[in-house]
Amino acid sequence: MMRPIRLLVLLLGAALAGCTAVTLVEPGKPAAVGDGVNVMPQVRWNQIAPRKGQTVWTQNGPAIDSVYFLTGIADGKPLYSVAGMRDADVGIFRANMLPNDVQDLVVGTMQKEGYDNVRAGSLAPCPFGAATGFCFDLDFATKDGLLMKGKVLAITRNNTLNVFEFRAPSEYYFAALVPTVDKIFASVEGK
Amino acid sequence: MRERRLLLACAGWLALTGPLAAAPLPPPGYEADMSGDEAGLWMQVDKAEAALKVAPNIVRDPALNAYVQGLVCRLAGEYCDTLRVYIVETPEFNAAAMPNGAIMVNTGLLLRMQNEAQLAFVLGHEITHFLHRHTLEHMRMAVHTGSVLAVIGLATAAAGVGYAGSAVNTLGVGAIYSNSRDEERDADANGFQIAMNKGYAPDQAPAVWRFMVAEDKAREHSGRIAFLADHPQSEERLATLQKAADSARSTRSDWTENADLYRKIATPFLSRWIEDELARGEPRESVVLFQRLSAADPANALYQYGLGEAYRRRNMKDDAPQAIAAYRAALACAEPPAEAWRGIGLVAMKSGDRPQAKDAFTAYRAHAPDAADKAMIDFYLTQL
Repeated sequence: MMRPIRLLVLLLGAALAGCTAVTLVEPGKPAAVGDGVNVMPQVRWNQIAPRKGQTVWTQNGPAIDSVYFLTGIADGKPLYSVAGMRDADVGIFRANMLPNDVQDLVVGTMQKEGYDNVRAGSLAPCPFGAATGFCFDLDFATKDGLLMKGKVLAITRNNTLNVFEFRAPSEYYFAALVPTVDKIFASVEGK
Repeated sequence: MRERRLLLACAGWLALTGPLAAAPLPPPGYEADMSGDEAGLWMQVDKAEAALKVAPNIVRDPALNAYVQGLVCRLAGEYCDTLRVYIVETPEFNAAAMPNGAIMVNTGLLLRMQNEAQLAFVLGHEITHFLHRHTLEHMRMAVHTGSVLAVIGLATAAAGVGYAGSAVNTLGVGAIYSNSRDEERDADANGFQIAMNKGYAPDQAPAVWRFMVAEDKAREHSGRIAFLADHPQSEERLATLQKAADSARSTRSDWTENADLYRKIATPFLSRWIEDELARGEPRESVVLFQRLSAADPANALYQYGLGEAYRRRNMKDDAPQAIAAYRAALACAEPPAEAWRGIGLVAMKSGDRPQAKDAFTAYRAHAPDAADKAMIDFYLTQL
C-alpha cells in the first residue's frame, strides 16, 4: 500500500505537470509567432506554452486579455480545436475564402468556443507586413456576462491563413492595451 | 355546443397523452413556504432572476416586452401577475420557465415563429411547467432517489448565472437539470389546451415541432437543439400533437393565427435576429430555417436575404446559384437590404464572374455609401 506522503507528492507532481508553462517575451526584440512571421513587442508580454500554429500572449492572464497568433492554417483545417467538437463541426478554412468568409469563420468559431452575441464589423484591408491583409473588430460576451471587444488582423497567402486576434474586456482593458497591440500588428515581418 | 365539442376534443387529447400532474395548482401570486423544502430552490431561482434583470443581453424594448408579456397574460389568465417575461437576445431556439414565475424567451425562438398561434403554444407549454411545478417535483424526485448532485447542480447553475443565455440553457431545460419526459408530455398536453382554449389554431402546435425536427436533422454536430434536448422523441411528440390537432380542428371555425400582428411586432427586430442566427456558424440549419420562413412569406426581403447568406456560408455544391437567386429575390421585394448586393458580389467574385461581382459591389456602394465595410468593398473592386 502506498504511503500517504508519497501519494501526495505524486498527486502534486501530476498537478504541476498539467500546469501551463509561461515564459516572458522581452520588448524591443523580434519575436517569432509561427509560420515564419516575427513581430516586435513594445512591452513585456507573458507567452503561454506555444503549440504548433498557436501562440498566445497575455498581460493580465488569458482569462482577461490575450493576443492569439494562429498561423499556418491549411485548407480544410479549423482556426483552432474546440473541446468536445469535431474540427469539421467547428468550421474549417478554405483557401478560396474571401476576407468576408474568414470574418464569418472567426465569428462562428468563437460562438462554438462558448462566447455569446459575437458580432464583427468594420472589415477593411490592412497591412500585414509588406503585404495587404485585412482586419476587423469584434464585440462579444463571455458566458458569465463580461462584455468583450476584439481586434483581428489576418491574411491568406499560399493557400494558408494567419489570424492574429486580440481579445479583452470592453471596460478598461481593451482601451488600455489596444495601442500596444496595434503596434504589434503594425510590426509584422517575414514570409 | 361549441364548448362541449371542445371539451370532447380535449378529453380525447388527454386520453392520448396520459393524465396531467396530480399536484394541485399553486394559487395566483403563489410564493414558496420558506420553511419547506422549496425554500432553497426559490432562493436560488430568485438569485438567478436578479441576475437576469441586469444581464446585458436582455431585450428591453417596451413594445416587444409588452406584446410577449401580454400574450402570457392572455394565456395564463389569473396567473398574469405571477408570471414575468424576460426576452433574451440569443439565437438558440429555447424558452424556459423558472419555478418562481420567471419565463425566459430567446430571440432565436421569436425569429422562428411565423405567427402568434405558434408562440402561444410554446408559451402555454412553459406556463404549464410553472403551474404544474415541474421543477419542484423534479427536485423532490432527485432528493428521494439520491440524485443529490442534480440538486447541487441546479443550485450551482442558478448561483452562477451572470448571462441570460446561460440561464436559459442551464436552468430551464439544460443538461444539468432537465424536466422528465413525462413532464414534457404533460406540458405539451396542457400547453396545447391552454392555447387552444384561447382560439389559437391547433395545427400551429405540430407545425412548431415539424420545423424544429427539420432543423434538428440538419445539425452538423451531435448536440440537439436545446428545446428538444430533454423532450420526448421528436417524432412521437409530433405525431401526438398532430393527432390532437386533427381532433380539435373541426370543433370551431374561427381559429386564429394572428400572423399579421406577429409580423408587425417582429419586423423591427428581424434584421438583428437574422444576423445573430447567421453568426451561430450553423449554415446547414440556417438554410432549413430561411427556406421555411422565405417560403411562408416570400415578400419579406429579410428572409430572402437570410436564405442567400445561409447558402453563401454553407458553400456546398450548387449553393452559389441558389444564394444569388435568394439575394435577387430579396432585391425584388420592398425595402431590400443593401447587403443583398454585397452577397451577390461575394458569391460572383468567388465563382469567377467578375462582371456580375463588379456590378453588384458597385450597387452595394451606391445603396450603402456609409457602410462600415466600404473600404473592403473598394479593395475588392480594385481586384476585379
